[in-house]
Amino acid sequence: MIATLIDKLDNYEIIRDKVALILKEEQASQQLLAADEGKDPALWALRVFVERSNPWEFMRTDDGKPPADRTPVCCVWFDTSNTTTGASQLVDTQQTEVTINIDVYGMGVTRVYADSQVAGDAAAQLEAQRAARLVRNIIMSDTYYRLGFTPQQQIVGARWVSQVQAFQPEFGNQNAQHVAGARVTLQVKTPETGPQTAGVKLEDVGVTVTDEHGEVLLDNDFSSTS
Amino acid sequence: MDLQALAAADLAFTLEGDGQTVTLTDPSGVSAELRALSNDIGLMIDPETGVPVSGRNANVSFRIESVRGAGFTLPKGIADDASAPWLVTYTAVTGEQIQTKVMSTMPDRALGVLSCRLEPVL
Repeated sequence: MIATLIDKLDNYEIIRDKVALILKEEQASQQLLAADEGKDPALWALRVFVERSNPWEFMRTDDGKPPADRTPVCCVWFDTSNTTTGASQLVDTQQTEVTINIDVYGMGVTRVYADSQVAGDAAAQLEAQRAARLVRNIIMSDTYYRLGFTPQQQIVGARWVSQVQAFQPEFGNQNAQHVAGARVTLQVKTPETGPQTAGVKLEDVGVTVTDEHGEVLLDNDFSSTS
Repeated sequence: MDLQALAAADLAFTLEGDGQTVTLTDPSGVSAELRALSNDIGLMIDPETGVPVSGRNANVSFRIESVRGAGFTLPKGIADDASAPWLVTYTAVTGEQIQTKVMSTMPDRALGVLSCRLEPVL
């Protein structure tokens, strides 16, 4: 039996939560930077969630009117962890490639003017792509080369956005409201470890090495464990 | 009275007799109040990410003869951003006045009814 309580997070969980934290902090920072440059901060805003699988109901309002806050939604969720066997040990450390998906949702509502309009279906896709662009740029900035971890922490070896994919709603032709989704796929190289049994001391070996005059060159004790 | 004429008479009775008053506005801004039936029902859509998103199905049905009688051509969805869309304003049974644009239409020339799919607008 394993003698110790498994009371830790695996790296893929730490990375997932870290990605969400980075997005949350950076979108706030970007809004401040946008305001400093006299631009509309709302265009840099994201609502960030982790591992949500309930239906999104952000379009639903009490009065049936389009929602006033149409900030894109961003859901960070763990997808897969694949072990690279050639770079792994059987006992303690396995090198893995983790896939984290960042799904973004953009809302679009048609804006009508006296002799023109801005169509909501196109606006939804453009919103989703704008949010995906923000996410990709934040994650792939050199600031987050190791997603904010130090090399000494040995959590992230490399990270890259492998794909950005836009979706079309399946029932779009029946829907009166426009929501478009896009998926930013992030892949991360990270080691994973499992509980290790502490070795049992079998014997102590004392080694003393001297030269031909008796001067000690090396004097050390070694423990041999199972 | 043939079958189509009978259906047209029934439509006038059922759709407009029991209908509600909605406002139809053409792209040039001309409006008229017409009798119609509206629906506004929530639904779920799949944005293909695996998590459904709240959606909505809103539509209104007019009698084609009444639309033409008010001086309009038949409404249709207008995709061109350089043109204003057809607008429909209706009052839901819960009391809210909802302004929408006509996203697409399905004319039924056998019964003489025009169903319009609607989209709430700003």
